[in-house]
Amino acid sequence: MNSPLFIALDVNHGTLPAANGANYFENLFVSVFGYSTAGTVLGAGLAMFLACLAVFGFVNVFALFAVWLERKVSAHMQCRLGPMEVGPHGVLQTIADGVKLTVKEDIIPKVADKPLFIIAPAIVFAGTFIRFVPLPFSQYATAADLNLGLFFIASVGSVEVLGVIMAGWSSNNKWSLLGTIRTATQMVSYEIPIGIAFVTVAVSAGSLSLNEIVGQQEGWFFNWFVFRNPFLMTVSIVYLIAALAECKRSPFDLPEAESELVSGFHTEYSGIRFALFFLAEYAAMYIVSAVAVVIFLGGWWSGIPAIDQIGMGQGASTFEVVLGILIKAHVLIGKAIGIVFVQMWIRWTLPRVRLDQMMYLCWKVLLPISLVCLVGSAMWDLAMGAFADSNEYFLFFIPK
Amino acid sequence: MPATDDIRTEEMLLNMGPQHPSTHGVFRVVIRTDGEMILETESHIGYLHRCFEKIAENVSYLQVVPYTDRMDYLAAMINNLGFAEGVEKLMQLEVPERAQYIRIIVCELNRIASHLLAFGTYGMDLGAITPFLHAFRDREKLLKIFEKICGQRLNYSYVRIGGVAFDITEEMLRDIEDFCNYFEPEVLDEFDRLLSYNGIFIARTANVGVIPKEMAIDFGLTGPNLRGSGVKRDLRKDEPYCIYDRFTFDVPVGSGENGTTGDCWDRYMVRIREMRQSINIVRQALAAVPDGSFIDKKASKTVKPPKGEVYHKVEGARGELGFHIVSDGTAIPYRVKTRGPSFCNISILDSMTQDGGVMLADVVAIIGSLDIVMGEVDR
Amino acid sequence: MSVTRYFSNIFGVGKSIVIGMSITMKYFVESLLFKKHTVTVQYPREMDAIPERHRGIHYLETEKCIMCWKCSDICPVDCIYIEGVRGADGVLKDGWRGKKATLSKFTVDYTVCIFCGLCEEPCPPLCIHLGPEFDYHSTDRKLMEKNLLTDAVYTEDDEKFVQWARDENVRLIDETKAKKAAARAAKAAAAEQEKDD
Repeated sequence: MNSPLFIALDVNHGTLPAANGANYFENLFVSVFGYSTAGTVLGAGLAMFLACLAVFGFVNVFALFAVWLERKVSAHMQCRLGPMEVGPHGVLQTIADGVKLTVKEDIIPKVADKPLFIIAPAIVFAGTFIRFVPLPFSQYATAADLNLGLFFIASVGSVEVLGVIMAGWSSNNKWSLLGTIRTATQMVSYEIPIGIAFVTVAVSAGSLSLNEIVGQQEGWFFNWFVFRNPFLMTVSIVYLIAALAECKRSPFDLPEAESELVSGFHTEYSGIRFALFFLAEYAAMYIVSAVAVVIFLGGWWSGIPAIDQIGMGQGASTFEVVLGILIKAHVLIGKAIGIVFVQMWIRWTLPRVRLDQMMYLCWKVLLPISLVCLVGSAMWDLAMGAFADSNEYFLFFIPK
Repeated sequence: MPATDDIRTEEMLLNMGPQHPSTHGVFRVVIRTDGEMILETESHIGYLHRCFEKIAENVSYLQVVPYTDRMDYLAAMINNLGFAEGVEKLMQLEVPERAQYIRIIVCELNRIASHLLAFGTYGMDLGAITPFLHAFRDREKLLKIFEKICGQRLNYSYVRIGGVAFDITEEMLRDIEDFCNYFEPEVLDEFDRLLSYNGIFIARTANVGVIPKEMAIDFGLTGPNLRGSGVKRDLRKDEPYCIYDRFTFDVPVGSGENGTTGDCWDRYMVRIREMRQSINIVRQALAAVPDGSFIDKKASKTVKPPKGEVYHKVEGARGELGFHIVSDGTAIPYRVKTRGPSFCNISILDSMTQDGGVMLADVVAIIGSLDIVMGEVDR
Repeated sequence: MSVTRYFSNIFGVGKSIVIGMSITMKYFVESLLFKKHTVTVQYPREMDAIPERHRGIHYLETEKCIMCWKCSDICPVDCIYIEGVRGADGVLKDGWRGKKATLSKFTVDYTVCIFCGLCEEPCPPLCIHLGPEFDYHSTDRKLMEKNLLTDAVYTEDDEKFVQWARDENVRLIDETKAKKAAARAAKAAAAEQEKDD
């Protein structure tokens, strides 16, 4: 019984190596082939490929669900029904839309810059997709638990901006160009409050690794970082607003301002290329929500220790371990979908901000507030003596 | 955002073409911009010209009535009313009392329907899509009432020369009263909370597209646009036609509550407040509808006004709607000229944008706040 | 901008946003849980009731029609085409018998009709109506003309009948003229005969 699969699932051997945040692939798939890269390069490569497929599958299924959710949410807020025909209550509508997009004619404008036009959607999608690497889906389900996960997410996603600029420029369309320029300013500007929010959390947690940050939020729900100190609560709101702008969602959807620019930078795209932009948008929504859940809302801990402890501890059976992991996955993804719902709710209520107002908001409101929160949070933790040790205090300052 | 001298920038010529999601019809604006700041705009109209005035020279008076519907198609009864009253003035025709009251009721309901659409599409232009659907839900209720009354939802041809085409039954009056009770306090308050006082909406519309009083009068602006700039002029009060002098109602005027007097928010708010006043008028009319005939049957069959001309103006949903009718004694008018309010309203756009300080997103806000209907501009 | 103004701006905008969001949330929850607010229906399975005065596709009460052409004259866009023969003596062998007339053609062209309803009013026997049917569509322009006599699309056979009716009409008129001329000639001949006698 030396197969790594059994070692991984055999809790008599204690916790999985994954819990220590070591820097190698800890996915359950990976455990089948070897939990050390020194072992088999082929195995590691195959594991990477499988992890990719799994995440891609998740992104697709999530986009399917999210599009349906968006249409239903918007419909119910607007006194109408939404999709009802295809499937019961329209659940298969997105599949029908996907099929339609797939079989559409591939139109590339004659005056468009062909290589850039073709590559742009791929880069946008890649930029979003690559952020899933350090993101946990459950307690032991991360593609790669990098010990600088937060930094990775913040930095690698910037590639998306390049893709958007390419898309707008290569369309050779003045309206798309306007959308592109707005996007470039918007996405690049709003990365700063997001980065500072991440730094605030990292300073409070003492680590950039996502699994580590979640690990510190174990226990009752007031252990969650959002309740840790008032500065972190403020910075979570700052993060949510800045994340809305990163995803180009209303009220910051100037890049694709429907009533001004028809479709902004992706006006000239149709068919599968448009589907890639679409997928990227919903993947970005999920990433942003999942990161918010992980760093502020307790990640996979449901906040009730009775539920959290299923499958943990020495004497749990295999069934209980798997059940626990599944429950934690549901909790995490459920919370992320909750934040996605909040994003949709905001979109269907608010009008669009103008470009200069958006810039004002970023540089003169969100940036100062997040800086103040960073310094304030660090000083608070220092004053409470709770630096990098969350289990000593709860509800901000009451010692346990 | 002024351009600095050491950075070389290029101007861009944008065509906000006849097909555009937010130009409220087929309206073309050629914009010369420096990035997001607009240097100059040039409007082109005429894409919806359907030769109404020429057609009116070839068909009889009765047959012109359906054509008048199609000018300002969002508030069609008011167009019918303007033309019908003009011809009645020429013929010195007495319209029965009941018909007058019915005309007032349906015209004010039409004004509400038109303002609902203006408010909904304005929100949608600025990105708030939900108020658009809520406004259309209420407009739908009105259109159902209109369908019960005259059989059509948009182009009614209901107000005919000599009265109205069909009688209104008790059931329809009850429906109208139910609508008034449903609409007035609650729904309008909800619109206010959802859109009018929304911080982002105010940021987009306050201090944007300011039209000072003198400029508004110079350009011949009328209706909510003029009242938004602080000028208290309403044809229903200043030169009453039909039986408007029997009703008491306020004339809302823009006062720079959230910015400058005459900005987009003021014009928008004048429309919202006008809806309240229209409900007020409808309620008063409902309480006082007399019995009687709804049309002067004999006169309406043969319409042959004596030689002469008349210019009759009514307060349309968008401003002063005028009909200049010249008759040569036959059953076919010699000339029918329409003064479409949107035509004069839209002429101000080029002058507003040439002073600088208007961004591209503001053009959308300005066009939406002027509330134009291309059917009226081009006829 | 002063500090108080800065913060009051932020809180003012935030408050209005929260109020707006509470309204949409109210709609969402109430429409989901209590099935309120939804105003759309699943057309064509469910449909709102069509009111009595709805102006849709025309229908004609043929036996009342007196072929006065008043509806055709008042139509602002000239989309009603009426042909037939005056006189109820069955002059036309086939055709649709109305009061005082036999109709061969009574069509409305729905690529032109604007559904204004002006044709209903001047009809003396009030026999033309705009009905509740509104769903009249086709992919071919020629199929958009409705024959109100057969209550169906105006077909080529109908066109042939109308053509026959026109020729028949001309023939009947010539026949009548010839008969009258013969009668006059006979009368003149008889008068001549009498004079001779």
